[in-house]
Amino acid sequence: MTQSLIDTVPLRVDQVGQRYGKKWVLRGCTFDLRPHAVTALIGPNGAGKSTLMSAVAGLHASTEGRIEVQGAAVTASPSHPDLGYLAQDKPLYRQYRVRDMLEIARHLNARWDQAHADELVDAAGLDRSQRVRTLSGGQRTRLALALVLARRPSVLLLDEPLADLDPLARLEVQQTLMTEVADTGMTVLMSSHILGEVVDLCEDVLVMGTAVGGGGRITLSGAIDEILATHRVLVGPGTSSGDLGFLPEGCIVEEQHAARQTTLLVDRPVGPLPEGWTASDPSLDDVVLAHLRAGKAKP
Amino acid sequence: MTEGQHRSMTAPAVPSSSGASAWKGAAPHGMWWVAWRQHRLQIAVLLAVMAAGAAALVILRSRIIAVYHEFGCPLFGSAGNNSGMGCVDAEGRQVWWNYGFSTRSSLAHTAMIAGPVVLGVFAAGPIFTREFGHGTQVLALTQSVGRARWFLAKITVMVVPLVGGLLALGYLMEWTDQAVEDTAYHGLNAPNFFARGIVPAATSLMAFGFAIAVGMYARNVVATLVVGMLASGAILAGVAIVQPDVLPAQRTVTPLADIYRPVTQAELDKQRSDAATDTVSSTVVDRNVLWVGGGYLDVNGRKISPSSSQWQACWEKADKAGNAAAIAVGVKPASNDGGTAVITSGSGAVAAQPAPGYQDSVEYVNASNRSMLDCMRSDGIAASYDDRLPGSKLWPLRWAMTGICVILAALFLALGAWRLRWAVAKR
Repeated sequence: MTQSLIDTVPLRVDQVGQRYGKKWVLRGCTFDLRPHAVTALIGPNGAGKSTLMSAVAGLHASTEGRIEVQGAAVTASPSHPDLGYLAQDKPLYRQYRVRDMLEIARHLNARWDQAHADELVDAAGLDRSQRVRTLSGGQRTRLALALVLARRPSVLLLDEPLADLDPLARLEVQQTLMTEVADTGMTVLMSSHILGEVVDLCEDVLVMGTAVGGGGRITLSGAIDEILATHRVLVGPGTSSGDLGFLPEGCIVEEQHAARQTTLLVDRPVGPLPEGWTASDPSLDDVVLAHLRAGKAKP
Repeated sequence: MTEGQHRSMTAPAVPSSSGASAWKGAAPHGMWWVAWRQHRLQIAVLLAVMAAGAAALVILRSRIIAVYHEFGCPLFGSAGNNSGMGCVDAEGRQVWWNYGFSTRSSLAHTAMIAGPVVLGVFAAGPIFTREFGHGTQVLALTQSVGRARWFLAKITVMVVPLVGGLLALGYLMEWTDQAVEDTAYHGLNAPNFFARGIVPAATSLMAFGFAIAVGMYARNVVATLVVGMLASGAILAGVAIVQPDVLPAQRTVTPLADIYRPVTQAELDKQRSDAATDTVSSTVVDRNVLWVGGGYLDVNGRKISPSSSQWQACWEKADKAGNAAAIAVGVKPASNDGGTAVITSGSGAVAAQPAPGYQDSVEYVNASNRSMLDCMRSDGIAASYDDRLPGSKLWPLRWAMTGICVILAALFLALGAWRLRWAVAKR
């Protein structure tokens, strides 16, 4: 194992923007993924998550910025060989049988682990003679996932993989993913607009805002444990913004003022609190939602 | 949070899992197999339709030959015969017209003109639009196959059987027609030209390319088929309109004095006899095949277009002069008043007009010709011209028109490929 490989960032997104016509749907998107980590990409509908993922997958060239997978620049078509991409719709040729889909995927890939594909299809209990259009949503997701994982990617992009799945199917897909990550150490970026859908699977989180002038700005990123460790909810007497001088500048993510109570979310530890103020640990939901609201408000 | 903080997530990584020799897929060449696997049903339907057309042509030709043999008629080219159309049955009826061959041949020609356009659009329409409809382009293009190869493979697997089959059909059409006619002679005019030889394959390729481009924009199978059929038909009509002007024509200039020359009674009788039996001399058959255009020239060789009132005035003068000359020598009026005067030669020698009589006489013809000559000269007309393409230009014209269709197809396909950059990402 060489040092250069060790230091390679699995996925680097640098100031990426995407414009359709005159409208920017993504702008100024910048982040790196931590190797071997499963990262949740959270953002509201329209934030540009799918646009970003399809650009990373090589479906189209981004209008500006640079994307690198394992240190190599991503170009539009073909997909980076180390990248696996499961699109939101889990597209499959619906008229074919499961075995045909496997054969087609083998012919479309230069790197293909047939044994692993078989293993995943068997684990999903899929009948190879069944036509794709007759599969349930969960079965289709597992077949699509098998096709992606048989490419043996080192970076896996999953665009809302659990959407539209019933609880049992969701659990099965989650288990498949976790097993795969544990076995291969792949880096995963998983998008969702529902935090609870993916938070149990992820170690890191990226929150994508929908600021005026285009989504895509990352308003929060990091390991979930660290984020929770640094953020605090402060509750104190009713006051105005001008009376919060005891806090370090720029630490307030969100503030809510009521007649007799002020609630703040701050993104770093603060010193001794004035009398009447208490601090508590926020939930990840509180933190993410506060950052989403803050990101939406910022131009 | 700053960008620097976003970067802080970077940590040492392990190498990718690439390089395992056991993990061998079939890409990129496997795309050819995938394209075949995806479109084989469509290809089979395409080939079946063309095979049915081929069978129909073979049957038509064999029926023509059988019936001609039955009545002891020579086919075209046998025993020096220059037309198989003159065959008559035992009751004296023309076989070509009375045994359904004319109708069936017309249907075959129509099918060979419209069919390639329909097949081209049918072959191209669903190729990409079906992928867009189901979003499966996202699946295909996020594997190891690039967009260009995907585009090329899918197009090629459809184009090869389409063009190959239509080349065969085009030659079968020509082979069928050769039973009764000189296809070199009849091959240049628009309906036959587009139904035979390499041209149907070329027009089909053009329609195919157009439908590919339409599909990239419409992203819908039905819309692509409808727009593709209608617009390809219009493009084909446009190509047919320019067809006579693609190659430089051979111009024949006939001075007015030759057109309106004096004739003898014997010449007049022969011309009438030829006109009555609809006989075309072999000289005309072999040369001057496709009439491209004609008209009049002034003394400087420039085109000149006399007005209808000028014509009318000249005709009236000529008729009066002819009638006077015929009366002067004692010719009696013809029983079929209202007949037409004789065309002496050249396409512009239209001295035809209703006459009160006498027009069968050589005195009438020569006097009216002299009058027409003087009248037209006074209008500045010095000669007539005919622009024609000879039968020897059949293949050059075929290649030229095929080239035009191939260039149009290439432009349409290039437009489709360019549009594909956006079409694959759009949802």
